Amino acid sequence: MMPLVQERMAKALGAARAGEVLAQAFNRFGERRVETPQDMLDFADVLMGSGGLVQAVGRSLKVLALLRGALER
Amino acid sequence: MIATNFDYDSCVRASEKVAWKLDEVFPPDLKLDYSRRFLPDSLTGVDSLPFLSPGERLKLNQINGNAYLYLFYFVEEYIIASVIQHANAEMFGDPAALRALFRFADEEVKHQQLFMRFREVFERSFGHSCDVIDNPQAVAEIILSKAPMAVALTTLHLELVTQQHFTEGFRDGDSAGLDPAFASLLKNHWLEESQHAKIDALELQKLAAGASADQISAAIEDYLGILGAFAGLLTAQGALDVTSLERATGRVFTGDERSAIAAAQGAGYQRALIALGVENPSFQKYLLQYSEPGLARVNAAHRGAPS
Repeated sequence: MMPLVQERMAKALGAARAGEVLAQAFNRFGERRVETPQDMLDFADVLMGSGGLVQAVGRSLKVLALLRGALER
Repeated sequence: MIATNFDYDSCVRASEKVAWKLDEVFPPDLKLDYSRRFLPDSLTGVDSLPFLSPGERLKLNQINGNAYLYLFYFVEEYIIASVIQHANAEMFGDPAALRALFRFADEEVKHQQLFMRFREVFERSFGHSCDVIDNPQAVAEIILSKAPMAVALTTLHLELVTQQHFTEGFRDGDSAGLDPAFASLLKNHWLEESQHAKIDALELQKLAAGASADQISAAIEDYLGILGAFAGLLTAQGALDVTSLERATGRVFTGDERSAIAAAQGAGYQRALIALGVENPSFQKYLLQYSEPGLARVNAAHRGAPS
């Protein structure tokens, strides 16, 4: 699921800014990888804490994860 | 992956070709012709009620037509919320999908306005109030709490049903003697729904692509649960129709007659809105692609057989 997250971020923010934001978000996400819809939902929650356009991408990814079977904890 | 001969772009192009304006299809001052039927007989249960006079059958057909449109208004409440969710998930994704989904949602809201406009005219001119089941919002909340694949399957089912109604009831020649305004309304509704069914199929493909066998199986059970609840609502609508018919005709039916009318009405709605969807060849084909055991489970449940 990570390529999808990267693609969405790059579309919204541009490749360079997306790389920076993802690096910061992964610092907060810890050692986990984004492989399943549940991972994507948790990662989207991290992005949503950022505000602005990043928050909008996070919100969209969260809905996408829920549609693919992730559950709110 | 199911091979399809359409994509989001082609759905938008087709939708643009058939799009219509609310005021063109149903101006607020439109007159309904109460000397004619609203629905083709193939979509009602009226045929099985020999004790009704021709005039009473006509009234029941019109009551049926009003309820039929209201039931589509009713289910579109959850469909709009669901399609907006799918559009939200496509933000910063595929612009063609995003456009198709927003267009889908916009058209469904327009259909709801169309059905409400009909209802206002009907309430004003039929001469008697007709009861309909209430609280579409609560039902939408229950449906949307189910697995997203089940919700999308239910939507696909309902979109295909509208196509089948048009094919069986109108294109095949059962439309002679219908109120032209009502027939035009149904045709225009169907024209836009035919694109919605394709968009539903594309969305289902996306959901199914990443789903496990367990998730698909759970979605099938949720879908059957939704159909079961919907069947209960349709039975309730059938019972309400009896009271509406008594009001409209001034005739007081015996207990047996009331039961027969309620049963025929409920069975008519269930055939039109549930059976035709489950048995629809396209629906069966899609379901088979997602899950062969799932298709067997749905067909067994539909036949009432243990699975």
